[in-house]
This record gives sequence, C-alpha cells and structure tokens, in this order.
Amino acid sequence: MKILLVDDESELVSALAERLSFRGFDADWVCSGAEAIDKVKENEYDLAVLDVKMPRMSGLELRAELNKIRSGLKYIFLSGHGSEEDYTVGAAEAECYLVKPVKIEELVDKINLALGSK
Amino acid sequence: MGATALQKDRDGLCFFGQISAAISHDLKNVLAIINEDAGLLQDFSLMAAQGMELDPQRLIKLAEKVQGQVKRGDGIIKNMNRFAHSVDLPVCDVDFRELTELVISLLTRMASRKCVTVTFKEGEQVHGKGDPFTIQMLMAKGLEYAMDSAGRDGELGIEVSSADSVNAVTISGLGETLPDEQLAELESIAVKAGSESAYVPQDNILIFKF
Repeated sequence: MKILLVDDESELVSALAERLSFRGFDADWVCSGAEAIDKVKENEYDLAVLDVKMPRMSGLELRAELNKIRSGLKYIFLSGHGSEEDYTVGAAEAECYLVKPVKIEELVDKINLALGSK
Repeated sequence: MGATALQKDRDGLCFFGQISAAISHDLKNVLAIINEDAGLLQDFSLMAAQGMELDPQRLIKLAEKVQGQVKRGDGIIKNMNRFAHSVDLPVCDVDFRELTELVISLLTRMASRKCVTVTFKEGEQVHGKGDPFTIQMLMAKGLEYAMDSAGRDGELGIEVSSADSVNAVTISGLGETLPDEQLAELESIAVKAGSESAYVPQDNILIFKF
C-alpha cells in the first residue's frame, strides 16, 4: 500500500515514514502542500496522512486540491492541537483524525481500517 | 467591575490565550518528533534483536536529533517563561530591544502560517518604563495586522530606536492599507500601553512611540 505523509515538520514526517516502511508500507513524505500535489500527480497513492495546520496550504485545503487529482484517495489528519473545533472538522473531512504525538500502532490500525485491509 | 475594565481584562486574556496556544502547538511538535525518534530507536532495537546489523552512525544521528529538539523545546519554554513573567509588575523597566525580539519569537508560527518573513533590525539598546505585557500586546497586534497587510511572501522589518526622550518601535514593509477598525484597535491598546500609534501609509510603516 502506497502512502504519502505531509507535514511541515520534516524531522517528524521523515521518521514517521521510515517507521511505516518498517511495517510494510511504501511511504513517501513531503513538507508542503505544493510538493504533495506534485507527488500525487506522479504516483498512485492509496492514502494521504496530512497535518491540519501547515503554512501556505492547510491540510483541509490540500485535501480539496488532491481530491481534484485523485478522487479515491483516503485521508488521515494529524494535528498538534486536538481542539474540539479541529476534531469536528477533521472527523467530518477525513477517514480519521489523530492528535500528535501519535502511537505508530494506532496510526497503522487507522491506515488499515481506512483502506479496508483489516 | 465596569464594562470597560472587563473588556480590558478580556483583551489581555485573549492575547495570553493566543500566545499560549501557539506555544503549546510548538511544544506538541517537539514532543511528537522526540516520540518518533524514540520509536525509531525501538524499531532498530527490535530489528537488531532479530539479527539485523545496527549502524552506529544512525544511532548517533538520532541522538543528535533528540538533543536538537530538546534545545528547541528549551528555547520555547524560556520564551514562555519570559512572557508569563511579563505580567508580574504593571510598570517596570522595559528593554525594548529584548521585548521586541521576544514578540518576534512568540509570533514565529503566525508568521510562518501567513508566509511572512519578519526581520529584526539590530539597533541601539533602548530602555524605558512601562507595562511590558501591554506593550507586547501592542507590538504583537501591530505585527499581526502588518503581516496581513504585507500578504503572502511579504517581508516586514522591525526596529527599535530612541530620540529626544521618545522610544519608538517601527514596523516597515506593510502593503495594503490597514482598515480603520484595526487602526482603532491599535490606538485603543496603545493608550493602555501608554503609547501613541501612528500609521504612515505612504511609507508603509507603523510606529509605536513610548
């Protein structure tokens, strides 16, 4: 399964991608919405993990753009805040919404659930 | 307590909350990175237990990353502490240069979100008497509106100066004209901070005089 992770914190997103690759996922990572759009144009991803609050393009705005390119893509949102407002928006807009720091087992479970592979 | 006093308290609380939320977001990111680095160490340990070779350089790099994040977190908490203690005294000696640098640091996330670069222009040491919390609120609100005015990829400069017993904090690089309601809000905070705010649209600058 091919996954794209997007977060403006490069150290976080690179480590998460590496840990997912150890668990059998083909995981790419980028640090901005613009890079994510390019990646999705070039690759057939099954799921994108998006940070909610990023400079230039928020996770929600990015999701709308990615949907235009690839309508079947599934989403998981990550946020540092975990405010009620974020949760409501995230829950409505994505398959799942997780608050940082994330437990890798929980992320793997949510990815499998979103992709219907468990 | 009258309505005006209540509103003043609420303005200050809102500012305190806004800064606290930004700090908590930054700290969450620091913790999340340390969490993933620790997770990678666990993964490497499990793989080593299964007979895979461990690259010592990888471990050294991971340790350096954790140390880097601890340093980042320490800087965030130091700024948070300085900001929190700014309410200790209603009037005290104010180092305007230090206070300006603190406000820029506290608004780093906002600047990043709004895609604006804020550069502190090194200048003289400027000291005066004032309420540091309200002065920070004035500078932060001024910077926030200046960022909106400058727009995406805008470049703001902020400078502290002193002449004829008047201290000044000048924000330059504004773009679009500041709306009247923003100017009125800045003027209202400036009064509480014992300051005068002046907007010079033809020069794209905002000045606070103390």
